[in-house]
Amino acid sequence: MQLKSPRSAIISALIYNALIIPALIPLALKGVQFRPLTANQLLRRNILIFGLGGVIAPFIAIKIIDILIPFA
Amino acid sequence: MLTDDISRYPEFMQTPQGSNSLSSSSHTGASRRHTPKASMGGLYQRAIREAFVKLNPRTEVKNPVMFIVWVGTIVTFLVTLDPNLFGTVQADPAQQRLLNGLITFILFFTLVFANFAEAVAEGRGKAQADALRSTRSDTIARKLLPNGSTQEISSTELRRGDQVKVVAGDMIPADGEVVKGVASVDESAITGESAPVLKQPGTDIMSSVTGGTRILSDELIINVTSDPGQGFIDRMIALVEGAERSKTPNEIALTVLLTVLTLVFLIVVATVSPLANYVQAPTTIAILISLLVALIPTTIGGLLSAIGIAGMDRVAQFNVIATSGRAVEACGDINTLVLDKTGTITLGNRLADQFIPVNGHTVEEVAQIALAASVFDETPEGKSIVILAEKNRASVNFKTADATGVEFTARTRMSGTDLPNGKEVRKGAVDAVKGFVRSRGGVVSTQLDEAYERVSRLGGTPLAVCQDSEIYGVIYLKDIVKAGLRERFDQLRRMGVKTIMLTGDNQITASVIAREAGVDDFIAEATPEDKIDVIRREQSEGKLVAMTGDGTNDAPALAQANVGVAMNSGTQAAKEAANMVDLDSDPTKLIDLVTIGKQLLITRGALTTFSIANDIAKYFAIIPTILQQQGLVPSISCSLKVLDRQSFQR
Repeated sequence: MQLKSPRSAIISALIYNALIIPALIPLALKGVQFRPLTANQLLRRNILIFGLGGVIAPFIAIKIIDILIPFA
Repeated sequence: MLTDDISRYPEFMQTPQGSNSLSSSSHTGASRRHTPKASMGGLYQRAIREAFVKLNPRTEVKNPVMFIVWVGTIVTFLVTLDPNLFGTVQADPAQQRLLNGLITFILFFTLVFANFAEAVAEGRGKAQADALRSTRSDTIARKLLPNGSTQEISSTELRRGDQVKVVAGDMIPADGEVVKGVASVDESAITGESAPVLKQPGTDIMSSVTGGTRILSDELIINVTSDPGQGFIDRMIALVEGAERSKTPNEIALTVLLTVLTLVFLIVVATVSPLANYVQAPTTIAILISLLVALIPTTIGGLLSAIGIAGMDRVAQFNVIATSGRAVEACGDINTLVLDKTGTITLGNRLADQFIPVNGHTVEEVAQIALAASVFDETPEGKSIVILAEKNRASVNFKTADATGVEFTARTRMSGTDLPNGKEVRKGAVDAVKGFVRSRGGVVSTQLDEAYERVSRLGGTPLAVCQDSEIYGVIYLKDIVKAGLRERFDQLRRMGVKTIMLTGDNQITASVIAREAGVDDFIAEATPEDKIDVIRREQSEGKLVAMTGDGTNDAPALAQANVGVAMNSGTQAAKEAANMVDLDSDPTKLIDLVTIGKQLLITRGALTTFSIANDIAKYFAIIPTILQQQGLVPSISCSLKVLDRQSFQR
């Protein structure tokens, strides 16, 4: 991922790990938007949004945190 | 059934004929719906404080995933104090200390954030509970002694089986059943409905009273049915506060899965250390803990209980008391809904839909006579006839003050008006009107029977209209399906939920309504016993069944159903058998409950997916860097090649 340094990588990953919890509190309390779909449609949709999104989001977020933190 | 329930929900408001008869209570529509508004002020300050209090290991140990983070934080804290505590580290101690301190700091906040999520969810529940609690303060109850005199005691000293006397202006001290007296009670404190409710003994529906409501007129003798702290409001408070929250089966299953996943990663990370040593990239305990925390599903581990509490809270906001979190969750797994026709699928009253003229009369003439016969009729049916007649350009062409209304009686099965000019107009059951016409010397044509049959086939109730000896036509009274239900049943079907309608109507009427409402199945001429049979049959096919009920004869079925929602207006027996009680007594809410339950399950699933997917990215961010430390080895694949070569040489 070409992060600045091993240390920066670890710190960035941990910061992401901590911040994602409060970031998701509103969603946890409000619930995901409800759509009347069949179980299969719902599964496909959620795997796409939360599965694929869940793989991509941290890469981007960790890269950004890595750039932002003043840590070599 | 309570017919005015419908008007509480704008989406169920009937616009055409029904609007007049139903609008009487609709002005309360905007202000009602939810329980006393909870105040959210100071919620976040309190949650922040709670988040630190929850760092107590005895609290943390209940959540295995976060407990691992907790232990990790302690260990990194120790190596911050002494980097060489778990073996000598080659790097510069000052730099090590800084890195370890930073890791400790971030891990600490991971814990605080997770606790904060739970505290916010609980805080919202508590605010709701406080609002509810404010409606019930200790009151002085007049306990009825065996000798007939009364003794004033605190409501908290009342026990199940005691009899109390309440008079106008009193707060009802506990949940109970009316044994004597007739009085109107203001239940707005719990239901939000401002119109007082009539209470009297003996009747299934109207004899149960709830603690915290106020009696407005007359007096009642009440048999207390619950000990203090065990009433419905108390149960709701305990539940939204989280005091009685126990993990639901689904939550337990997910916690087991997350714990196993955590253990797997614990082993994986433990083996990284010798591997790293082998490739001459030794790593520190703080780095290994960081790797572990990044890999275990902390996101869902931290949010799991908040999701559950929020689900309960959402149900409470809907003015439904669930006796357990399990019941809320079960709503999401429901496969079959068993619904009563009257009050749930259709409005409680039949409304006039059409005038069918006979004997060569015109629709306008029928409308004119029907209007004249209905001006004194205050029933919703009567009012709907007036509205339909006025739509057909009929108008009252006599002085109502000079006319006399003839009320409906079970014996005559007719009602109507004696006009000032001496003519008598009547409307009523076709047989009754036939008899009336014959007694006035008129004849009955076969056209009337044809119209009668036509209306019956359409699933409606025919009312004949006559003036003196002349029959003018038939009013078609139609069962009105609540607006928007069809779409909701379609939604349910798409989600895989089957709907079954139960009705006492005959087969033809039932099939017409079933088709109109869009239910999947119906059972006509149903008895209360049929309900439990339907539930058993569905359950034997492995389905989860939800139903609503309010009568004592519904109790066995409510207990048998996986989700049984009793109406607050229902009997004590029904409420005790059910696992949810709807304070607004609106059976249609069952559909909303299914939605809330499903939303809870979907939210939990979505966040679990997200959390585990996150781990993949975090793994790739950390693993290569651990093995690259000090630029010794480029990647894991290289170390594996080394291992391969070795085994090959041997």
